[in-house]
Amino acid sequence: MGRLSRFYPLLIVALLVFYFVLAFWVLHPTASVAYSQYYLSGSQAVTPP
Amino acid sequence: MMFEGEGSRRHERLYALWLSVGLFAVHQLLELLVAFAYHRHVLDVCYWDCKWYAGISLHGYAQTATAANHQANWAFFPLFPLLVLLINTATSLSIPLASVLLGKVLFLFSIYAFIEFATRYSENVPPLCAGMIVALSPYALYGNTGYTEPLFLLLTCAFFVFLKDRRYLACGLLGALLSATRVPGIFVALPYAVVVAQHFLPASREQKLEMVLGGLLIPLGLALFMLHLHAVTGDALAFIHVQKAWGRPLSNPLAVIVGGFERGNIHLIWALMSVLALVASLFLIFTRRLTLGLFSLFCTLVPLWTGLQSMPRYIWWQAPILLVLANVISRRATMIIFMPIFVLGLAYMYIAWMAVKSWVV
Repeated sequence: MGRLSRFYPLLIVALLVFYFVLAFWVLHPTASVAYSQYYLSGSQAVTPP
Repeated sequence: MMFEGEGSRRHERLYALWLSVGLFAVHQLLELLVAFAYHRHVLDVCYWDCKWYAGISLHGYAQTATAANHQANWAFFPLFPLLVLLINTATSLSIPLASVLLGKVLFLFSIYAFIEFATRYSENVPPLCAGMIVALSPYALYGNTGYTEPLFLLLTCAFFVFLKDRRYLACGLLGALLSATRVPGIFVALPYAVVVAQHFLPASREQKLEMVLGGLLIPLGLALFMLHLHAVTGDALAFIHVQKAWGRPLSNPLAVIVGGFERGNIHLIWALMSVLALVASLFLIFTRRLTLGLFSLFCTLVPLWTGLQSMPRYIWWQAPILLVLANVISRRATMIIFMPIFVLGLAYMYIAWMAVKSWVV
């Protein structure tokens, strides 16, 4: 545990950077809006199966 | 049964293990009898969601939804199909068969894990009672059908056991697996936050770093899944958006429950189960078991947004709710009344499953 704990700060920073990138790049509205508009507008609901 | 010392602890664990094996065997025997009576094969039960998971193991996540009904496999989380793929690669078993067999193995471990969890969180619950609740409740059939429920229960119980021992890194790693198993998995972050908040200030620097790292690990499974969905479909939130293709737009949970009462029949039963699960969650919170209660409250409320049909699977495989139930029927007289009802209910569920009834999905 003692040796591993030296890497905790590095791992914390790496995870924070990863989540930051995910939030501002992947979850950025332009990434999801087109798809969600299609589904949430209900257009699929009126299309006959 | 209370023992002292490491030797007696080992004895307790051995007892729980053999109890799990015995109860698992009783469940398998019941399934075998129903399958025999209905001329079905016990390993040929991969229907409904099991087929969706098998499809993910075989072909990965789809780039587009189907033209006919706009459904896609994005709603199904990746950990279980990944494990199935590993087994398929290692053993060359067919994907549906590997799904069902893996489900059974995880089911056995989840019975043991729940007994361990129950004895840690409630001294009143005998191991036999805890094991019977998991192994023989009507909705225990999902342990045998290649679904993700046993994996979820196993990981949840292990998470809460480690949380009790304040092993933050282990909790973080289990949380990461849980958030890649199904949507409510991410909610273990709530009990984790409660425990960390209680112990953060007096902790040493190393412990504080471990607490923070454990907390940051919990959403990792979900984050990686979202990243993959973004790469495949262009929509990191496809697992939410695709719910509408199953006729499940996000709705007010209260309206969903009221709707269930108004529609009656099976919807009424699902609505009643949901109300009881919410009451059980509040009971846990108000009896100073905040970690368990918060987890259950969110694990019940959030799936309610998308309707009632899947609620039994979310309720009957939720460790804290099962713990409340085990407490209720832990008295010998209550157990004698409830358990035969449960076993008959389980047999009925198997009959419905083997007749491929849609309400048992």
